[in-house]
Amino acid sequence: MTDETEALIRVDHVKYRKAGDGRSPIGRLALFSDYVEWRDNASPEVFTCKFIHIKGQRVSPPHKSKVQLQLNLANDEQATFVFLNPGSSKEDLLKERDVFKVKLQNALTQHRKRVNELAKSVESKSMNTELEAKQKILCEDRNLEKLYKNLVYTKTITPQDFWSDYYQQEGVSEDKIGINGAFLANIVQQEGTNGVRLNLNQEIIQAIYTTYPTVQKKNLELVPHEMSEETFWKKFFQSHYFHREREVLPNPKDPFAECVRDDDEEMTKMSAEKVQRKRFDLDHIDDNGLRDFVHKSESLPKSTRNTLIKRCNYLSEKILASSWKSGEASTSAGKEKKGFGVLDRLVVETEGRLESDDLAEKESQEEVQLVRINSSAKATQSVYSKREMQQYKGIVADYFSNWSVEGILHRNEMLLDQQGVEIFETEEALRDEQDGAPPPEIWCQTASELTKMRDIHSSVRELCRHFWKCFPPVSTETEEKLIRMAATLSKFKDEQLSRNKEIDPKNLEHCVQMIDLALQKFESYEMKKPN
Amino acid sequence: MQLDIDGLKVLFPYDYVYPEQVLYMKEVKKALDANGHGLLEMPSGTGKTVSLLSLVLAYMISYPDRLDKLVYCSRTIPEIEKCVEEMKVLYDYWEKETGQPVAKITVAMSARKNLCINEKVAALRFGNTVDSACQKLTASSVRAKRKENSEIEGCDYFENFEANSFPMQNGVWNLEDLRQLGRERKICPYFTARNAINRAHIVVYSYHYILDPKIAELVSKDFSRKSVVVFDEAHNIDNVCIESMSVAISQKNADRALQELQNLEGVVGRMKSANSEKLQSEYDKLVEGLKRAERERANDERLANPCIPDDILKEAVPGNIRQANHFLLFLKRFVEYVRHRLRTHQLFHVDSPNSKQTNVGLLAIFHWSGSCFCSIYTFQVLIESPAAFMKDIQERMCIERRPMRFCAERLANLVRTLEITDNGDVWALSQVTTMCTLVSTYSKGFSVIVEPQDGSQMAMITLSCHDASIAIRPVLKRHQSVIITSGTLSPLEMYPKILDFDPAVVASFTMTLARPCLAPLVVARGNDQVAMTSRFEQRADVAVIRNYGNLVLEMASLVPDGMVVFFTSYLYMENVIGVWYEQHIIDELMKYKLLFIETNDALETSAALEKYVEACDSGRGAVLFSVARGKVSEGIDFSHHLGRCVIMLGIPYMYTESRVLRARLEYLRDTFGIRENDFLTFDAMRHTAQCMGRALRSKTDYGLMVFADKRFSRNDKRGKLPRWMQEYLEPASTNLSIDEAAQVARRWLTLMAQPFQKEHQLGVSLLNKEMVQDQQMMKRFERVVEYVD
Repeated sequence: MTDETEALIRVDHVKYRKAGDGRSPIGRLALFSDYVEWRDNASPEVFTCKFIHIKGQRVSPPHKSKVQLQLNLANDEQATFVFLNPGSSKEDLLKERDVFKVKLQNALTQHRKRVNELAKSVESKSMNTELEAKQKILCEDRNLEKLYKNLVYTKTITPQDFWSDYYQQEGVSEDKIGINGAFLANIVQQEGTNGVRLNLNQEIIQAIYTTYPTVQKKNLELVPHEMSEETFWKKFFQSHYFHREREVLPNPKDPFAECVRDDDEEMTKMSAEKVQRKRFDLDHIDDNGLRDFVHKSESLPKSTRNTLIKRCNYLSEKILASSWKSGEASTSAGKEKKGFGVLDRLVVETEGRLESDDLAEKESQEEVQLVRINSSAKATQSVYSKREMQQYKGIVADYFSNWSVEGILHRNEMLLDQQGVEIFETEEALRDEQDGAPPPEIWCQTASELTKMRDIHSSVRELCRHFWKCFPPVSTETEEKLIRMAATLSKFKDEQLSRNKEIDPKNLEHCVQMIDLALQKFESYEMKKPN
Repeated sequence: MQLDIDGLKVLFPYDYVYPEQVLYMKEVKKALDANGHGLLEMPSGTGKTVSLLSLVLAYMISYPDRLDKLVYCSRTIPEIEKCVEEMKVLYDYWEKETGQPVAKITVAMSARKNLCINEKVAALRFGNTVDSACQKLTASSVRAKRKENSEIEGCDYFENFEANSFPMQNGVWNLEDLRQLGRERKICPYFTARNAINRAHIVVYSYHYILDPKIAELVSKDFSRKSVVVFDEAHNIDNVCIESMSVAISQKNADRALQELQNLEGVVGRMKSANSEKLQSEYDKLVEGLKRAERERANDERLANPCIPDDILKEAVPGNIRQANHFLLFLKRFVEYVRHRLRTHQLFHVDSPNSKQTNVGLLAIFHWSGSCFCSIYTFQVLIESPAAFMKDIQERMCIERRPMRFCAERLANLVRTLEITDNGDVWALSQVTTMCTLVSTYSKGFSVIVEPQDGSQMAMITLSCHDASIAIRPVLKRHQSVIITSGTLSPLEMYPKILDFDPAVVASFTMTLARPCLAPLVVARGNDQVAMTSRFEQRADVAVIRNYGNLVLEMASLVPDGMVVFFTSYLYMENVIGVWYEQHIIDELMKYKLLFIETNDALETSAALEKYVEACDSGRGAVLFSVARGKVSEGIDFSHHLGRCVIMLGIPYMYTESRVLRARLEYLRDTFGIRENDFLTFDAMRHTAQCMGRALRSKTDYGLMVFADKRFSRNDKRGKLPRWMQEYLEPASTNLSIDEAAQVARRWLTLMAQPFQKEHQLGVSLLNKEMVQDQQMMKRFERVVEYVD
């Protein structure tokens, strides 16, 4: 059990004091990611305590002769450890103890966070955003829904393939909702018997946590081991977070007193950060080098109002920061910019903008919308990445070097891209019409038949689209998909078209043609594939 | 586009031009033709810079014998950089049109912190630290030492610059171009620029390089007479002038000066025993008055004499301060005198017979009966003329006028002899010597103000300059044309008076607009009909503060994106925010927009500003609380969505109890016949206009301007706003309540939100080539210019 997980910290020469027992043994205390362990040096005695059982910890005051650490357990028992490394002085021992204490505290909070999250995820109905979004898409588009039913329900194609075109995760990166600026003011207040009652809900608590992460840390640390949820929030509403004008004195009983220090530190850090937008950096825009020299500013006395102002700024800054994705700083440099990141580009543009730019003749924006890609407008145009482009180039070059002119000239062997198919399709349709297409009543007899046919047709279209989209197969993935789609197509042809007795085969001719064309292409591709 | 400005062919680098620009160029040309000075007010966003540059460049090329240099002074780094960028566009256009590159050098110049490319030095970021780090590497004494001991660190870029002088090529050199050049050729961009500005035809830098005598002597003294100096954004030019000639020494700095003096004594003592020839040679040189023969090297820069060149005595340093230790003793006496003056308030000069014996007892009594104590306390603030100061110092310390006048230069000499490379080692002392020299040189236009310690406020002795014309006079005299221009110079007749010059052209331009994109509203009362005002008697009134709060709330609820609120002073803002917080107005405000507040600290404010911009950019919207006369109101533009509405809460009068201001007002009244109230209103209104102008930076921009004080309804206040603001202020909206203002704003904002294209402007506020040549058309715009006599 000891070596399962690496210990976070080990301390030797620790006495485990047992109540009542005469002599307490000396051993080694170790901290793991979810439990504390103490091993006796002499005997095989082991004491372990899971984090779940630990309510909190206490340390002996510094002036006491013994350096102790006490764990308060859930069953109201205590485990006391005495640090007595013979080789080190009292200060060292204290330091050792404090290091252990801090590590344990962090591990405890981590652990509690994990447990809470676990509980929450089990509780909630695992409705993740992706599923919701997909459902929404289907609800909004009836055709798509039908297509989905026809193709995915019947297991003709996999959901992944289906969604590859219709749902883009990256496209909606701003799904994280920001925080209402007035979340503190919006808390419902009621007249209680003694003063006011404030009604908190999950949303507000979440907002508080996101804005002030230190509060969440404190909550994990203290609730419910040292105080109840209720007292915690009561204290919160008495703290400087809620009363931003209050000066806070260091008070060991107030859980938020020490948060002040952290916040102050962060405020200084924020203001010390270099300003990205040079135009708004007061330090940068001023060019009077002598000003510092002649009028060296004396530090002004701080007033309480100043604290209020600073905290107001801090609150707004934190709220603003919460709408950026975690980990992605608003002004982080590098990489492709998405969502709000695009703003950085705008910033550069506006910074460089000249006063008289309005006078310049604007070149009219080139509107490039040459081809409509397909009827399902939601599908996005595929864009080849640089790597894919390279591969594609390679294939074409390969193709031309390995094949004779006649081979290339043969129409069916040309690489047909999607637009080609489209044109081909429309041509076909036009020809049909010109040929004097039979009037609708001859196509099929009933309305239900008509819908069925429409379904089949759109399914075939969708499948063909997937098929053609795989060309040129630049990666193994697309190649796999190509093979898969070819199989699907032939299967579809067999099952749906050939055996379909309800509909006049004449009406399905076009679909068969489309599939045939695709299969033909696949055959020739198989043949040519460099092995 | 080629324009014909009164017979001068001007190449204008765009296909369209605003009618104001054409008229503006005409006025500039008039001033240049007359070899005189000009005072021109044209709203920001109408392209002042590019019109000025096009005209002057065309003038210089057409009449090279009449004009050979343009010195363009601006206030902030972004403004300098933008101006140079405009120049680049202009150069490209000239080359395109004429087929030849422009044979002129344009160079931008800035402090070391913006130009240094020595990584170690540039990383220090802050102006004075970069400067002293640079001097430590490049001072000639350090370089001489390095010849003997190669261990000593140097700056390669500077050494390369020294080794092979690099003549600047024709073209435009912006700050970034200079840095680039420095990196490519491994030479120091700062000294390259310093070197180049003497030869360059167009120099772009900030005010103090030409206005502050302490630097102007080093940087700009060799400029040709046939040059035109332009001060852009010059509405505050008088304050810049005054600031450059004033010194303030606090108790702390006086103590520090004494400390520095002791250190210097130590250095002198050491040198005496180790290397006495050096001191001797310095002495000899001073005897012969040879110090000027030795050409000052640029890299050894000390601050030059704080007096303007004409007032510097052209003779040898007097005998009693020639010896280093004599000079130090002399300085010691002066510093002690200053310290004595700062302490004086603690002695009670109460004319009662027993005051002398019961000094301590009196102190206790006065503390006990607080009010009485106070009255004597403030009485102690002392204002005296330099003459009285000189007389007193003569009597008490036996210090004469003549050696005092040489003090600043003598210190610079000594510091050079002692090879002290870090100016930071003597900065308090140089302040003292600056004061010493100034106070002994000028008897008019200055006063000495001694403020005793008052609570947390430290004791302070200030030599305050009241006369802006002193600093600007050499500039006006030395250069044939000086153009003072800004978006807000109204009332124009004030500037010739306070700067004491006689301009050839004084004109104000309005803004031609195709749609009413500025909407000034005067909100005079709340919905409860309580008058809104920041008058001293009423501003602490809860009802007034609440109404201000309601106004801000109302506007925040209907204005999109960014909104800026200006308060009259920092203290007032703190109080109001405190009250608003208690009244939950701040919480309410946060429901609509995020809130950011300017603070005393520049770093904090920059961070808050950036977040404000971020909030506006991301569409969240924000309110910025700021202070008139503050750093934000002076240098930051809130164009487009960054400032859709500006609210001025009250009229930003100067703090009239300030002794410095009182003294200045008296001087202005006695010397120039400017009434106190006129000057105060003038100053308040120009700052109001400044704050308001922050929101509107181009013709396609739009912004609401809310003047929240009932006094704005009166004509004597409103009439002092710039013409372009007055003209768009409807008579109907000069006395609105909050609700009425909201009503107007709503209607106006929907109107403004409509798409706006260039076609809408054409012929109304924008001209193409044909229209400019059309006499009929141009006649329409006659009213745009208004001359002031």
